[in-house]
Amino acid sequence: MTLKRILTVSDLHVSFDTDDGIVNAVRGVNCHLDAGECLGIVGESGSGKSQTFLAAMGLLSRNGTASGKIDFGGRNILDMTKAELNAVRGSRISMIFQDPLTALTPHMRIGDQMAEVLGAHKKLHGAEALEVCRRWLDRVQIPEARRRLRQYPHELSGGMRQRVMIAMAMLCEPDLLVADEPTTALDVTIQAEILDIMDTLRQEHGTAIALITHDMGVVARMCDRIQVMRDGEYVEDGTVDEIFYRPKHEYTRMLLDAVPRIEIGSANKDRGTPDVIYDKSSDFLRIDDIRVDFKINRGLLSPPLNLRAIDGVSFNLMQGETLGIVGESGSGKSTLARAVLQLIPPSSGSVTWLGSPLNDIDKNALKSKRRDLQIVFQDPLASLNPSNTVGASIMEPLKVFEKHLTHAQMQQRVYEIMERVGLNPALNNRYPHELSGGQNQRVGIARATITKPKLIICDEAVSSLDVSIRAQIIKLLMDLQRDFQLSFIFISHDLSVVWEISHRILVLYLGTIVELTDTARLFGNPQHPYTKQLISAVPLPDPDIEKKRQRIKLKGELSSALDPRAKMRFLPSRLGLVESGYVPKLEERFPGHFVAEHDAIEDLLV
Amino acid sequence: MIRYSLKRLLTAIPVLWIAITVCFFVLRLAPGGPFDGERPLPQTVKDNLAAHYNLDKPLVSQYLIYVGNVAKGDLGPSFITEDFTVSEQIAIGLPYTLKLGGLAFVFSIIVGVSAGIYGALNRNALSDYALASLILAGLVVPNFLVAPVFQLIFGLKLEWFPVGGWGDGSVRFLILPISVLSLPHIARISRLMRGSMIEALNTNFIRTARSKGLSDRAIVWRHALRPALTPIVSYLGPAASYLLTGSLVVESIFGIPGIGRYFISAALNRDYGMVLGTVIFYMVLIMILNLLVDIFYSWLDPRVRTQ
Amino acid sequence: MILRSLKEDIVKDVSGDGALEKPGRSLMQSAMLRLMRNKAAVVSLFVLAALILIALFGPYVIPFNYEDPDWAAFRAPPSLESGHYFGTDQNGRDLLARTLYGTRISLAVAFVATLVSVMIGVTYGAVSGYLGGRVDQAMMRFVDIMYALPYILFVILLMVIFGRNVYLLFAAIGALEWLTMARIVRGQTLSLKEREFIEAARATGLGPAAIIFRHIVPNLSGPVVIYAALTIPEIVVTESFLSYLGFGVQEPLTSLGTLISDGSDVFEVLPWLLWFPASFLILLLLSLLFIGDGLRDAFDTKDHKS
Repeated sequence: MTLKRILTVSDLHVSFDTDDGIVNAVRGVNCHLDAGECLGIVGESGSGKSQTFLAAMGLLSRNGTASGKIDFGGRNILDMTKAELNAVRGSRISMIFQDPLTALTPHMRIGDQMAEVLGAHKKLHGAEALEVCRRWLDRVQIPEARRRLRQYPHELSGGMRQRVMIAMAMLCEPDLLVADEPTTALDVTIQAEILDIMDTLRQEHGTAIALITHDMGVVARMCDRIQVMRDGEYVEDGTVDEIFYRPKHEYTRMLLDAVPRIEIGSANKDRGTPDVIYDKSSDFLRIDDIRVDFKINRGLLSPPLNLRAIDGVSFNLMQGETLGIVGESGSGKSTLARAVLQLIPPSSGSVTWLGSPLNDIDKNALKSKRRDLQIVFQDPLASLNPSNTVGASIMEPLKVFEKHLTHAQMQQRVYEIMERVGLNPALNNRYPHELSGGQNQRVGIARATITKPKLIICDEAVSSLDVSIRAQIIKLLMDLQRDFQLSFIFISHDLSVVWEISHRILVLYLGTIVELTDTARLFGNPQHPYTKQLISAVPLPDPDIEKKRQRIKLKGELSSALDPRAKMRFLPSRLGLVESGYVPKLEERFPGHFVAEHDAIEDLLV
Repeated sequence: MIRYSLKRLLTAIPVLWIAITVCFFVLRLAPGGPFDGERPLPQTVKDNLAAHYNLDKPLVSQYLIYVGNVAKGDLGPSFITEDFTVSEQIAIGLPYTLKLGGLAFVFSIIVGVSAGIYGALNRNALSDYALASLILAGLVVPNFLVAPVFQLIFGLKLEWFPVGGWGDGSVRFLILPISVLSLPHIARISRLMRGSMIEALNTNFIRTARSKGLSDRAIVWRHALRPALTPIVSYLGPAASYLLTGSLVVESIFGIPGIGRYFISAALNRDYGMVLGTVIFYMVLIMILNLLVDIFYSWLDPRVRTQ
Repeated sequence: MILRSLKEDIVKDVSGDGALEKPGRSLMQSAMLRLMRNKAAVVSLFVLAALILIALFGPYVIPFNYEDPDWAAFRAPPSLESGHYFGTDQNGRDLLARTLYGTRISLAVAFVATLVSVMIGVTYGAVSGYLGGRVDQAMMRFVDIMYALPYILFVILLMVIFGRNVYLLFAAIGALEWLTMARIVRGQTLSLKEREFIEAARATGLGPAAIIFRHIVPNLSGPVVIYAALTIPEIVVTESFLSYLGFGVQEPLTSLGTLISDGSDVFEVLPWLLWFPASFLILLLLSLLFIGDGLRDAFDTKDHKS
């Protein structure tokens, strides 16, 4: 059976006229899409993967020009007048974007934004148009669709907004839906739901999907064919099976190798026990029943609102061990890290470091301990002072903790550590904005390790990096751990990264521990429904497994920590106890395997 | 919305009170009094005058009397113009100032906003450069320089408009003063508007709107205009007070009998009562204007409302 | 953005891409380089420098003084022979000398008042932003209210009460022009405070003073420089405006505003009395404006993304 050809791109070039001259973002690309198929365009940042389809939508930025041919229904889109183009986009080709918050007009009601598409393309207006919109909101599983039509984008959650974007894109039942990193800004459980919706729409309406993403797992799950893009060119194309199981190009292989492959359901994964076992009787780091409250100011006259970001968390850490902390946005994982380091003072509970307390001690005592406790941040550029050279940033801890060194000695140490973390010492006098993201993250790591600390907290330290660089940084961290006998607390929203690096994993939900055990057991025998849901939602870079896997969907959405009932999402049978401040208790279900109280999973499924 | 407005009004009252207090005492600290004219008055006359205006009482009771009167809407007597109280003087000048200022305000917003949008949509076209030079002229040529030049060209040479005066208050008399008053504001507003419109057109939601196949007109009017207006709205408060400042000059140069001209002559003659009264009146006026601006603001951006 | 990422070589990252040992370019330095590429700003810098130089040294070179009349030349039009290149006024005073003197006053007021406003604004804004919370809210509410007050009336009030004292004029204008600066500095401080490099500094064990001076203040310089440059012309206009109304410096001292005020009274008969001071004022404002705009564009990296 031959399918209808929808789009043919031949020899497409896109270039941008910038301050630093002409940049060729896309260089002679060919591809095509048939009705009802899903084509994945994979590449790292800067590969030009979005530009092909932005050109097809006539959405290049002002300094961009496209040449070549984009054939859609027998016409070259690049030759169309604006009016002709407007007749096509939104109606026969539509697009959804990465960030659903900024992609919707903030001052217009959802209903108005959607209805205007029908007004422009189908001359449908008023109640009639709104009725069509409502039906589509139902179809993308938005509860209370009628009420949503009157709401503004900021009143919806991220996942809801992206559903609205999809519904809006589907209003005219287009032949082609272009999705540009549609789930990158979303939590993994929400991502799973959005991907499901897109897949269903494709099957029901025969809409072809062009899925632009950096995530091999998402591609494995969604796509029929794949184009791998690098530096403005397609380096390889083929069916999913070809790309994943028989990659030809070196770059494709490198991409696939860089992605951690969680082996779900098997207990094989073992990073072994930490290389150095610390005497368990006296703890290395021990956190006891820690709580963090934030006051939210609501203007000069109203009393501040209390937000409990961390609610009674306890765990310990051994020397040389890596503890992964996973949670979705709003789980309080970054707050927890900062509370451990006393960057945010905990409201109650205690932090014990090498047998002596770390909280409620005087400033100078704390300062001397900071030498052994360091942190690496998510955004490499933001974590470096833009007005300091890279060398000065790395040297700063020495100036605080090793004042006796001469400047030359300090500089020598800086060169050594730069070498150690894979930075060319020649970059010493450069500024952060002159370096790449990966290089800046190495600077951050160099700064954190120059005083030879004992514990480093990595707060989403690899999340903003491309997969290939991410793999290198993870390898660097593991090497440093071995050489310096470092302990890590590794915080991430990305289960596959945590799986790769951690000895033990702690799952956090709205400031409380849901499950805590070693990596193999967590993935091999997860106990808590939330953990199960998280694991089932991670897209795996393996099409065979991915297309067969059953996803677990639980009732409710991750809601705000301001809502006390939200904490009982997995224990609805005790919802009545919320008033008295009841929090699900953590129990040691197996030795070393802690699970929070929950109802039977059958009662929680959608 | 009503609660919000009330709350804003309530916070404005202490500010007003503090301002009045400071002004009152600073005035009394000043060397020299209103009756130290060129011809010295006999001491008895001075004493009588002082008693009449409560100037012989202790400073604190003078202050209490004054604040009490202000609360009742009475701005006290003018020390120089005996026949009128300050409130009456303001009432006489107000219609002129309001008409001139109000029209200039509306005129500069309309022209400035449209010019700004036009410039943003026709970036780097010849007309955009023409607009840029107009903006530049508005910014660097102060209105006390524009006024005599306009008077000379349009009044004396071309004889299109009267050189000054209010006449019957018809358009002919208003055109010159209003254009002089508006020019710098048109410049500022169109510059702001051009910049914010360009920024608004570069946002993600405009990209979405374009991907929906909407016409350029729908994109500009429905999606980009409101966010682009935000900086203009926050400029309106300061603009109103700049406009008042401008009206001081314009009323003097064009001989329009508004509050501004009274204020200048009162200030030059050290008529404390009149100066203080006018300052208070202007403050109230501008605070009300700012309240309106804030309300308008929450219409522009629904996120402000839910906070 | 696209450009940056394209340059970022994915694989070479490990080796540190073999860069040559060369000094980096700080944000400030790159901004200055961009400024130097802005023709209007560069020309304006030269014009401004020339204006400052002739205002400072010109009076020593020309044979006339700003206050003594030349009895041989009343209401003399500009001429090369008499040595009154700008002509004289009704009192026989040399207009060139007076214009130069006026420019000097305008510049002095502008720089002193800007300094005052920068000092107040930066301190207020930095304190408000760094303390945050309710203090910040209260402080900013105050600025909001002040912002809407007819401040020129207050200046006039002050000038009326305390006499037309030049120093008071400096202080009064400066003390009332700091509001925008305070807002900008506060906003910048707030956003810097949230940046991870401040947290990194705290994690390193740096105290609050070291954080403010080593990490926050150096990063405030950009916006402060830009806004100070934009404040100067505002103040020049304000001063000349007050002088025009008769609330500025007093005879026989003079400023550009006073000269323009006098000139516009006799505009039809003695036009040079208006044209020369007016051209000086406009030239001054124009060059200051271009420099301010140039600085803003140079620091604003938003414009440079594709």
